[in-house]
Amino acid sequence: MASNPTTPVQYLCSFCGKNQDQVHGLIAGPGDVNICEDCVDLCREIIVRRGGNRLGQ
Amino acid sequence: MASNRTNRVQYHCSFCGKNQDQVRRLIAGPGAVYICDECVDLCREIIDEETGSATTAATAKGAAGVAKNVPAPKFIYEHLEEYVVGQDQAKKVLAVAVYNHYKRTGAAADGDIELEKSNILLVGPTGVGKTYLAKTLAKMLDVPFSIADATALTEAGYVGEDVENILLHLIQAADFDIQKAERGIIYIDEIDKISRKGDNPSITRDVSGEGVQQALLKIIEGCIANVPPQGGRKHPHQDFLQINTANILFICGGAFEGLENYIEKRLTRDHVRIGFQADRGFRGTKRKDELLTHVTHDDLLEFGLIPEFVGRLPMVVGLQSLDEGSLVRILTEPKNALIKQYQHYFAMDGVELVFTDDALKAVAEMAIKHKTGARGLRTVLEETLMEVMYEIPGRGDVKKCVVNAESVLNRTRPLLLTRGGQQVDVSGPGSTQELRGETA
Repeated sequence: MASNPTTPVQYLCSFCGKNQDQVHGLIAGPGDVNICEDCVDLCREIIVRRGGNRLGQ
Repeated sequence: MASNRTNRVQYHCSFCGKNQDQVRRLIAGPGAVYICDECVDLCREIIDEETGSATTAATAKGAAGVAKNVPAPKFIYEHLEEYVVGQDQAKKVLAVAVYNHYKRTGAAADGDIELEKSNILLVGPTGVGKTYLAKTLAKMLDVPFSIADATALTEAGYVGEDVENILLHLIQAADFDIQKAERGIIYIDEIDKISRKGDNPSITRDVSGEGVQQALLKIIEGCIANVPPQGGRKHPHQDFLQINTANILFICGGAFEGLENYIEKRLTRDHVRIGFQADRGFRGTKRKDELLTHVTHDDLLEFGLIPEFVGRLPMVVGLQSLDEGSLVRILTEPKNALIKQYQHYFAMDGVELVFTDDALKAVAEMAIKHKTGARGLRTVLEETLMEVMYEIPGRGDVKKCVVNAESVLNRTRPLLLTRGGQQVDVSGPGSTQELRGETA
């Protein structure tokens, strides 16, 4: 599928770079931003592990 | 300070547009992509909802997916067959175990019956392919797989590796994806080295033997383990990765050198023999294999494993030591057979390497004498080819190297042939002097 040239648009996860065929669920944000299920889980883990705003610190 | 604060770069969540002051936490992706904690929760909800609303569809799909993606035991067996010679029983057991492991981890989410794992213990002399089986399995599986070494482990608090570190290796193999790691397989090598060291009269604690077995108990059975993410020992000011080991399959392997004596003792206990050579019941090369097929948990207890530990490894498989036929097959048949490896080495120098059939047999024969299993083959081949590997690269005329039984058994130089099929007379240092002596 991935190599199929007739597949018109490839949506890529903006965080890990995998395309929609390689991940379970891909959630689209505004513009050209997407996030896949795995990255969502990863982010949640990060938040749970050390709460607070990393960039604000 | 204040102006500094206002001039600070503003990061915005790429999904909802809020900046870092408006959200609790902002996670940066590669490039200028950010996501805030609220969006993460929202995304999680969307995913849950989607999978939840389509539960029936998802489970049907999941069940079909398991059936489709999971390699059948026969397929796993065939794959192992490509690399590992012999050991049919062990291959079958591993294939079934891995297949069941897939099924268990796939079905863990739903169903009333909770499936539990059956860990495996591989017992067999050195060099028969215990670790190699594990490595081959690791390559073909798409679950995280790690190979740990029991020799380095010590009880918590003592210098050496804590048992939790074997889980860390698995987590690393899963790219720190804990959920993925919880479906992984761990191979613990050299498990016999942590057996209790006899009934030691010393009063010191057996920190690398029995202590390790005790520490492994909970991990092998299934618990929530706290793993320090950087490895090393635990200390209070450190956050841990929590991992549930209930679904991690453990395969242990060990040589258990001397185990056959315990088995023999048990088997011959009932029928007492009297007279000269009374203890010659099981002798010869097959004796050890014959005995290892009778291995039971009792023998492992005698060997020095603690009952709690043995009980958690319900499957015990004895591996057979390799005979001449198997060794010859190991030399030639597997995908990365030794002969193929050496032919590749020689091909880099533009030389064709040929072994005659009796040479292969001779190599196997010599390797058996080394008593190191298949590892002995490499020793023998290195010794045999050492001279020509020294000689050939400097000479352009050699195109073919033929090894026969004589060169293996008597360490004579293998035949070197030129492109036309003429024999190359490479004189070693000894014969050169002889020649000089004649001319002088």
